[in-house]
Amino acid sequence: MDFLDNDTSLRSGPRPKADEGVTELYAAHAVGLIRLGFVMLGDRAAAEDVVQDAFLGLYRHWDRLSDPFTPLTYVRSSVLNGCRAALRNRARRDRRDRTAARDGWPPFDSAEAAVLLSQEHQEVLSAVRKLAHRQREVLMLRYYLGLSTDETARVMGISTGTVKSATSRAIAALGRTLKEES
Amino acid sequence: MNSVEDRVHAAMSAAADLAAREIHSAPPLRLPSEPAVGARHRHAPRRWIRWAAPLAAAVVVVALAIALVLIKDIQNGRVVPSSTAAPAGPGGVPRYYVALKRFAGNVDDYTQQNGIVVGDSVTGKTLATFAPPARTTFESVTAAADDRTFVVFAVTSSSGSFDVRAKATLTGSWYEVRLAPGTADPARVTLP
Repeated sequence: MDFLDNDTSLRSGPRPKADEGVTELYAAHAVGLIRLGFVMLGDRAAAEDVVQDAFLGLYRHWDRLSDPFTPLTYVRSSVLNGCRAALRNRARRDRRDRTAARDGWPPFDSAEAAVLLSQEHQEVLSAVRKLAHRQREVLMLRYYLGLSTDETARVMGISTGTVKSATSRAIAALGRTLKEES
Repeated sequence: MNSVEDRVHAAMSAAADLAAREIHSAPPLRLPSEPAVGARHRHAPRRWIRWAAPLAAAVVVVALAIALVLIKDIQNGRVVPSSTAAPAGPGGVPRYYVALKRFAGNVDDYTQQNGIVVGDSVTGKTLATFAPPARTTFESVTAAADDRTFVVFAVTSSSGSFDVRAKATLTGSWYEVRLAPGTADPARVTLP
């Protein structure tokens, strides 16, 4: 079994040293994780910071990681937690500064997004943004990253049953929201 | 019409395309210069930190207690020697007292004004009574160790109402009550 993950592009065999292993994983997955953070946060710099912190955490905990909590699962989980914390801080800052609630989802309400995304996609993404954080994260992992139920459960630290129920509720909530808006 | 899941799939795919157009590379990874340390080495300072904080707090408390004892010794032992205290009344009760007494107004509508009564706890006699100034009520009394000096706190209201919710301006002031029993003027109230 690959130590880093089941990604076949990564090496198999004994555990590499921390700096080698983390650097290798970063080279293979950083861009994808930054894109995930960008989609969730709408801010490239914030997404890069979250991913950097996730890999730094992995580096520090390298010796304590054990299978099946693989390094890639660890950083995915860290990125998810980092995005959640960043969104929470942003909401708190908005409340403190009495900034009006954001209606759009920053990367998808820009002029460029208006060209690249159809109205249909923007409506769906806007509805996803309004979901509870667990439901939103489940959808991101399942439908954006394409993870299986088991992989999603490991990343989120919840049971597969909870993943299934959260997915089902998220889809139902989206259906209601999209029906109301249509 | 596609199912909601299909719509989510399509929207996520479009979002991924947009993110891919926006982000082509990752910045260099910044790892700390020192190598990652093992759990054994990492735990040692944490254990130290765990008991260092309570120890520091204990040291501060002990230092504070010593300082308070020293300060108390300076103020009460030297500046106000106990030998100057007036002789106590029956049962160790101070001979003279200053108390608040309702003078006018009503507590229900926040207009009650308290005056001051100076009494002798041995004879039970009232030595003097003081009415409060206009729109003022006496609120509390503090006695000095010599049983001859008292400080009274008074509140003056701009409207005569002492309701803190009202729009009146409330001003606090301190009055000194000095006793001279056996004289023609056994009690005198002054603004310090």
